[in-house]
Amino acid sequence: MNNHLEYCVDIVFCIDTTGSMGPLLDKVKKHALNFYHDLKNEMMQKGKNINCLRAKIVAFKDYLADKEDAMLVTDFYELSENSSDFDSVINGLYPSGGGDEPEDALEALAYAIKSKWTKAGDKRRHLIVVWSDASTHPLGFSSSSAFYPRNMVKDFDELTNLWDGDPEDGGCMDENAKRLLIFAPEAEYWTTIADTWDNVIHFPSSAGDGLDRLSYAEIMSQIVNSLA
Amino acid sequence: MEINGYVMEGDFSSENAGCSLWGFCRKYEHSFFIKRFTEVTYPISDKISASILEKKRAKCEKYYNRKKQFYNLLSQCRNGNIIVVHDFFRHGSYYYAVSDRVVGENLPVKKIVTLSNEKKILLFKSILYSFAIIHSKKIIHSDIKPENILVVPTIDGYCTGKIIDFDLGFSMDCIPKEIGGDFLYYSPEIMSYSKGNSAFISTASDVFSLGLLFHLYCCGELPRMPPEYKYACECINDGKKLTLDSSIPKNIQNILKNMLIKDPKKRLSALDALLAFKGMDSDVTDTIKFTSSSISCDDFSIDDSVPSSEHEEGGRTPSKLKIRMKSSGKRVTPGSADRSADKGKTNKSSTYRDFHRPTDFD
Repeated sequence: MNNHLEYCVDIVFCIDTTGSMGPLLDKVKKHALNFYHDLKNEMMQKGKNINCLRAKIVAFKDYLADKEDAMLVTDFYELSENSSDFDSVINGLYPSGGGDEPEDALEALAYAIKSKWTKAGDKRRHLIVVWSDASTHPLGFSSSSAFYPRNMVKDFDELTNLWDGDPEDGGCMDENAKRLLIFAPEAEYWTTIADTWDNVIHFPSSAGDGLDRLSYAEIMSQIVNSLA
Repeated sequence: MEINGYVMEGDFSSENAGCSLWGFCRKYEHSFFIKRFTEVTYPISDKISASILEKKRAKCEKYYNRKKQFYNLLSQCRNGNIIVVHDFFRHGSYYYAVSDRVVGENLPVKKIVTLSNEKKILLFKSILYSFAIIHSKKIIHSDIKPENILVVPTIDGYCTGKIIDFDLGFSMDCIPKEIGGDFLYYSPEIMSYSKGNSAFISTASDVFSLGLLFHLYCCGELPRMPPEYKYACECINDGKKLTLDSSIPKNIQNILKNMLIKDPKKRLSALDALLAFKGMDSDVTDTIKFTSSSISCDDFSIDDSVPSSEHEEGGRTPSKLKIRMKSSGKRVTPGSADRSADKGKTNKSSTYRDFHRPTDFD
């Protein structure tokens, strides 16, 4: 028996990077370099030690308005004391575009759910954090765009099965590890997701304000609470 | 906001609650603690198909029945210090559990450490008494840590321990595939189980956690171990020893050592540990010989004639202290949890700059 216990955490940040999201992006950029250090410290204060921490970004906008820049996805970065790569990626995000009010967040969520989640560790957390100040288009709304991905899930049922379904129904999440934190307005489909999917906490925000009132401390606190 | 007749006092909080939310509420002019579970959500939306609705609702029904059964069992443990759930229901999409609100100051560990030995022993006895009751129902708490035992001063100047948060608890008749809890307080067998190995799971795992907790209450720290280990269970499973703090009185150390024995079958039960602490008030019978400061299980007489149930019905007169063979546990192997050591792919380039612009969804 490997005689050490390990706690492995993967976090996928689904970030709305449309024009109004400047305030939130500025906060995230400012703290990106210290994110690992801050999270580790907060967890240690709760008596929890994270052995391996990875983070990934899914930056989304609107396929119809923003075309090839509508969906930007990274692989997982292993975070450590030196997180300059992750910091560079975050600082490469710029708020722009967006078109109409709803965004293609459900497609972003689909990419987040289909991440190559870690199977390592004796305890795991697979956390998705969504930041948006807008409602969502239904899945497939932007499918007429030349940049809309092939084989995207067709409807909300399929997306629900990805998150909550058994493997035979297409489910790809570890039931015990999965967590979804939504920082977004009380609007569709965020409210439906919060009222339907398991292991979701929705923190309603004001529409259109770029999550201006959301502080880094609160973001960190909610992430830590979901991991502790 | 009103939830099933309970009026919320303030907002829900996620502090120290994992993916649950908790708060306080009032009903019949009485204040309660209320928890909202998010691990299972009852779908009421019209935006998903009937087939998915049916599957999810069936899952919810199983969840509700399982929890209700557990809470009903737990309710048999009501003793004032065991904070049981007395109302469990669904309201809208969420399930809620309501229990009594513990009033009074909750002493932090740094204050507990300053209590006199007499008050600490009384505190230990109150906690062990509660766990003897809980364990008599074959319930394992599984999440013993300072946050889940509220130490409340009593009017006569002593302290009592209120046992809260049975969310990770389970009946020994229904051992889950994954056992939760805090690594810091894991027993060696729970650690073994979590690694996919067969393990003897019993109420003794709670006793191990209590041994660590009592050590913390005595001196403010968990037992020391070689630096390569972060958790006591790792140290013990590797065959190494924990070192108890020398400031702890020898008679308390001896009991703690026997609560921290690696083999759960040889470990003291909660009842036996309680009797051992009670025995400090008067002469201990010769069944237990505290011959030296390093007690091994060989020093105890094993009474195989004692019934296999951990505790006799109707209680017992503690005229003799015996160590019982722990035969009421179960050797189980975890379910089909994926234990592969596959550490998910990461980007190998340390200078990765570009995002993918995915054109496919696979």
